[in-house]
Amino acid sequence: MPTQADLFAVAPELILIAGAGVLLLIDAFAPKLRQISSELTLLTAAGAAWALLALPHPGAAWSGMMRSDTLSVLVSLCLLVAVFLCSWMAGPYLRRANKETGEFYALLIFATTGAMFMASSIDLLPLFLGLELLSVALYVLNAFFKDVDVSLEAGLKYFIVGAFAAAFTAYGIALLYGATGTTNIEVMGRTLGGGAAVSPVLIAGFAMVAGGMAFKLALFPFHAWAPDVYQGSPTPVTAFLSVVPKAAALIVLLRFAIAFDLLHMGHSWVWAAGIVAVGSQTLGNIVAIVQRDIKRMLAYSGIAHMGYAMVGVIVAGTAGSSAVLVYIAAYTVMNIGAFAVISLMSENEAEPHLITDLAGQGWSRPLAALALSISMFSLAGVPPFAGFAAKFFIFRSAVNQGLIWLAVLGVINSLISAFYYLRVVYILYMKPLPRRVPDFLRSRAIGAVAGVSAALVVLIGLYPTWVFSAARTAAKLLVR
Amino acid sequence: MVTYVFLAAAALAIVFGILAIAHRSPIINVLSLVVVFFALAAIYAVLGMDFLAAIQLIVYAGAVLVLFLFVIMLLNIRSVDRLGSGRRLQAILGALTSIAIGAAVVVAIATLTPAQGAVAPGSQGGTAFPIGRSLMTTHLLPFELVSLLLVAALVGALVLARKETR
Repeated sequence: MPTQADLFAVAPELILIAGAGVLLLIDAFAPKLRQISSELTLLTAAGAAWALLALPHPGAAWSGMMRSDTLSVLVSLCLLVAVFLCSWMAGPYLRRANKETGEFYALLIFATTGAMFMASSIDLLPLFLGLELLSVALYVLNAFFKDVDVSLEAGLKYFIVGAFAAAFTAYGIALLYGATGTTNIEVMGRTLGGGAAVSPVLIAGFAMVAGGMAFKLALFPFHAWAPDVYQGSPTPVTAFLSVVPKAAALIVLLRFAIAFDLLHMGHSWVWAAGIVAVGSQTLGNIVAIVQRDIKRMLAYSGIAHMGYAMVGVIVAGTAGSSAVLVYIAAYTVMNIGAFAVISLMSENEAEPHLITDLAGQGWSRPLAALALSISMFSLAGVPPFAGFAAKFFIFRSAVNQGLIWLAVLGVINSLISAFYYLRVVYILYMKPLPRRVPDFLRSRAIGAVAGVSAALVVLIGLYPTWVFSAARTAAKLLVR
Repeated sequence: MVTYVFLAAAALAIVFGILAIAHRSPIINVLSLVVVFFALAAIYAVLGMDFLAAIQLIVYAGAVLVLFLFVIMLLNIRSVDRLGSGRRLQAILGALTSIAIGAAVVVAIATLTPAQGAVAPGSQGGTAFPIGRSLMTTHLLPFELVSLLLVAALVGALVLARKETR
């Protein structure tokens, strides 16, 4: 029987699941209430956030499979903010295509629940199930616009490559179990610390699990799916997909990095992960320059950004972990802000979202354009926005750890990236409106999402120490 | 005796596993997969996991495979493109990578001394009792998560398969 502590540990998730259930039932039995699905989702996410912040956190729960503490609270909060903003912007977006159904929101909530389980599990069993819950819901959400070819293509591509990656992860978990006799990451770490030799099976198992996570993060060389999937998915789903799985996968990698003490285990990990990190940054930034579709550009930008975050994972320790946590928070708000504006500035789902279509919008829709510009500046890492603070903490932790080459290459890459982010701002303000004024979506709700995200980007950028001190407390729990 | 049964089952599984991905006819692919599942069930039985072996037969060889066969027959797929008939460079690189990964895993497993605490053959009694007990105690959370996963998959399948009537 689950104890009270066990139930407290999953209270936010239980609220989410109940909300998803209500949404599904409304859709089936009271179709007239369907139009408030978006609001119900917001309410569910807010309820889960309340449970997260107000209820006690028992620490280890469910026979040591989960850990509910400051770390899980911080990550779950980011995930809940993400689902809140994404479902808020999804309402008007789906209504335009006449596709508002409860299932969309229920699947969005299921995906968030999966990510939350992934981020707070220290046992590979619930972790893998969380990963699958997240993935299965996302496969369907990608292809949600069934009559749009690119949407179906996105769903199919993500499904095939994702299933392959999941199989690798499962096989890796089996090998890790064979090598250590446990599926608990922390216990595994302790057996290693006890002087047990690092066996090839352990390395093979970890490499496979790490590969599965790298797929979710779209790190080089596991990135090939990203551009098509980003481009084809409905924009609110792209926003969700670009932050939620990444936050969860980063936490999983961090847990391994710290439990196994990978930094001190030998140079091969630092080299392998370093090449993946720098490769992602370089490939992402250089290929992003030649993109004409803004969603594809942001896909490559996402590849590069996860490359920066990987530097924090390599550094690990308190400094690296807290830097990664700040990165997750900053990346969540700046990316969702960007996608919110993109979903406003599109005529319909089947058309490509060309960057040149944004010409002149800076003057005809000043507020939305301002929000997009703030996101772009932040993604480029320009102070005083959140992206700068996040990158600063990452690179500082690398320098302090003596990994100066990672920091230098990261900074060079971030300079390259400024070109394509600022080009968007240039086109917004410096190019004239086209003769045929595009018929873009007008929605206060999506505007509000963009506004809230931009405000958070500025707030985190101006007062990074607030987030950083919370991240530090959480990181200390992780390192312990 | 046990070793011979294992070796025979393993050889069968490998041969028919290759056939399952390499043969042109989808029906033969699926039927080879049945043999693989039977061989795996034999290996479970050799390890003393009687219950798992039975489940393997009932669920995979029984239910899942029949479903596959139905789908293939209903869609009336006669043959599929041969393995590696796509781009040549892709095929070569893919083959090399698979061989490298396969070799790495074989080497890794060959050097493995099973960890203390890993489930030893037959140590759980192999019956439904210890499995059911662990599902209701230490593994309650994953057990419940599986049900959630199935609900999500069910809802997702309906969303994708339903005809738009509205």
